[in-house]
Amino acid sequence: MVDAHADRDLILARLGEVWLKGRNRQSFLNRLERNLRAALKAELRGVRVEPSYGRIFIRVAAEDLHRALEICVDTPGLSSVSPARRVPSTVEAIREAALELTAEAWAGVEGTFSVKARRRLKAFPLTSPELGRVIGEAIGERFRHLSVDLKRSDHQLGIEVDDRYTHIWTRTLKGSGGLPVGSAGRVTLLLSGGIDSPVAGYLAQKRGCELDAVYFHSPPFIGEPSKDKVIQLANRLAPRQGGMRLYIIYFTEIQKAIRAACDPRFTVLLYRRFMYRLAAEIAEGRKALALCTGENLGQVASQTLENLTAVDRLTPLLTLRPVLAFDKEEIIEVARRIDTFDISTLPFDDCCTLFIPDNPIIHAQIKALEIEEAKLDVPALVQEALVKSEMLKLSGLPIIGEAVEG
Amino acid sequence: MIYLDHAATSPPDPEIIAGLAARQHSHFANPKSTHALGVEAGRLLEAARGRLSRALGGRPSELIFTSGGTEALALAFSGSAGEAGRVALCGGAHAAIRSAAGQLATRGFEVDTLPLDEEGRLTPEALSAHLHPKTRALALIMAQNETGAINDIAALSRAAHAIAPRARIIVDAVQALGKAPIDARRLGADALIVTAHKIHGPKGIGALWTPHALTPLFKGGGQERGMRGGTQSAPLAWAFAEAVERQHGAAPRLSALRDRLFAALRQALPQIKLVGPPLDGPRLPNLLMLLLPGLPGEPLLNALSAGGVCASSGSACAGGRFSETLTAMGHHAGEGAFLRLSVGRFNTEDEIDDAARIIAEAARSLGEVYG
Repeated sequence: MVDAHADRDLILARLGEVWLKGRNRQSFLNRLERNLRAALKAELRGVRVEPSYGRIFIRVAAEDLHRALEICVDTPGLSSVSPARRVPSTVEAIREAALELTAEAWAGVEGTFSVKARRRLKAFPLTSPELGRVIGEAIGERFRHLSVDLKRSDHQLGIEVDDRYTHIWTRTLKGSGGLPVGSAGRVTLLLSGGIDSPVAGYLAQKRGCELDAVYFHSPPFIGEPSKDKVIQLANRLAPRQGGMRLYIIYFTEIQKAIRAACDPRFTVLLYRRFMYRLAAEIAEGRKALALCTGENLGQVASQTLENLTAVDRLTPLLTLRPVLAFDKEEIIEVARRIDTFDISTLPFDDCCTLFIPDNPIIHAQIKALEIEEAKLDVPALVQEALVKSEMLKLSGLPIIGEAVEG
Repeated sequence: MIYLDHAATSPPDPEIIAGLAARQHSHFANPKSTHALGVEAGRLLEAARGRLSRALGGRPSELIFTSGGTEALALAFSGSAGEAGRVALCGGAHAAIRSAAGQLATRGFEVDTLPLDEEGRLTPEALSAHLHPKTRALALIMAQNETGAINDIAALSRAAHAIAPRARIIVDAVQALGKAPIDARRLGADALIVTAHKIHGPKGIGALWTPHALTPLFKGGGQERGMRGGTQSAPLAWAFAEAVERQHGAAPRLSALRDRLFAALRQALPQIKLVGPPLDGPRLPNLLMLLLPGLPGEPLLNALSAGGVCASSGSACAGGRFSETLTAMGHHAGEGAFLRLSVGRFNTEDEIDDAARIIAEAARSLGEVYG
């Protein structure tokens, strides 16, 4: 059997929870395959993505292997990936490839090793344990300083025998797990320039949500660098779903109106209530199924249970708060992993910091907020902000998006 | 856009850019190469060295080309300090010097900072009162980049040598070049630093004048008297020399533009205050640091940018921290918006008038929100 793409490197990707799905499995699989293909092809040329019996095989040029692995690891729905060798399903071919592969990968290493063989071709002449033993003995002769430890080895060789091909690997990278982006439906993310909201967006993506992002911009109080920062953050989320919409809503007039008319102690909550109203409008236009925010319980004064309740009642939409119970350190850990932390910590403010009093209300009564809002023409302010909003379609590539709507 | 941020960097002179592009083709060779093209490039480089050193009052053999002001400052300061001991810098020193001093401090040096007066200048009296006799290197800024205050370097050098005879005097003349007369020897300097991009030259080239041997930051192939390794760019050196000569005599025009701007702003916004020395005092001809009481700094700059004026706060709110220079002068962030306006010789009177109008409008509309 000739492998048509033997000149390119092969990645074996294993499915995560997708595999547990029942009748919906095929649609989840299709989504995962599509996402993976889009993410890989956005950066790399000549990529082939082929699903096969609960695995996805990816062919890339040898020089792209490292980047392709990174992309796979970052694609929700995969549990792990291995750079693999593909050979015909014969004992001789397997032994030869196993020796070659380990000669490269284990040169100069110390410790113990194991061979984990699995056969799905029942007609194969050896059982799985027999194959493992045969290959293990061959390797043991080659690497006399390594000893076998089947339970807790330092180095593993994996073998999977299928009917046409056998795959062999020495390295397995943990995937991000979760479900394919888009399999859960569309969600509207309230994205600020901070650390929390990009992490919330990522976690929602990981559970299958496809995001639209909404950012509230307040010129001239907030400068263009703040907007660019949010675009950069959105660009970090976009590749996972093959592109993303970022709505930029001009918030200046609302903030000026609140400052002019309302009790300053309610400023932050009044901002947030407008943000929820506006995000819900965007969500409705896009048939999104939920909002998603980076809100956390107790992190700052505006995030008490009372204050979260005060923003929650404005829309019938469900609001996802994936980092609600995270400690700041835990959020930062994820932010570093998804490469948003260094952007979020750039020293450009977002509009929430404007006109903030020293003594904000910590436990707000909805009634009191409604009294403040009665001093404003809320529907007109919301409409005006929506009309002035603009939308960017972000490819996820590291470039500034292009405005496509006025 | 009306560009009033020449203290940050200046738009390159189109003719210099064209000349530079041509020479990047014709004089690309390594000036150390012995073939015909290398010799040509070497001649261009040495001619530029001669032109630039003449403009600074030095000899060609005393001039070292670097990648820019920051590198030249770091080389001069740490290269003069020796292995251990004491160094000093004036208040209001550029971040490049402050960070070089910080690196010396981590290597065990004692670092003294000399205080500014309320106009943002270091006086010889203050220097005499605070300089330690064992100081090995003293970094002075000739023209301060935020306030435009000009220090009397000659007087400061004399005062410094009277107290610390071994101190090497390092003069940051990056802002002063092309705007105030520079004569390195008469200033009493041991090292003097300049850069091309503040006077309509390209970025990527600076220079250090010094008659002394300095410990290099990196030796590389031993270029620039062994003090700054790396293949030299003859075309960039040419562009630097060209920029200095073209800027010659620009000061009166710059100060006329500056005064016109200040007069227009004063009329529209009587509450503004000039920070630093008075207009007829020792200050750069092209720079105004203004305080607009009660206004927020960043929104003002954003509004100006949206209105078509590029300006700066100096370092007044760089990275969220208030300027050390302004703090040393007794200012604080709560006073209002600090606005640095710096003109260049390509600005026109019409631009100045338009800018004054845009600034006044932005200040008024922000004043309504914050009032």
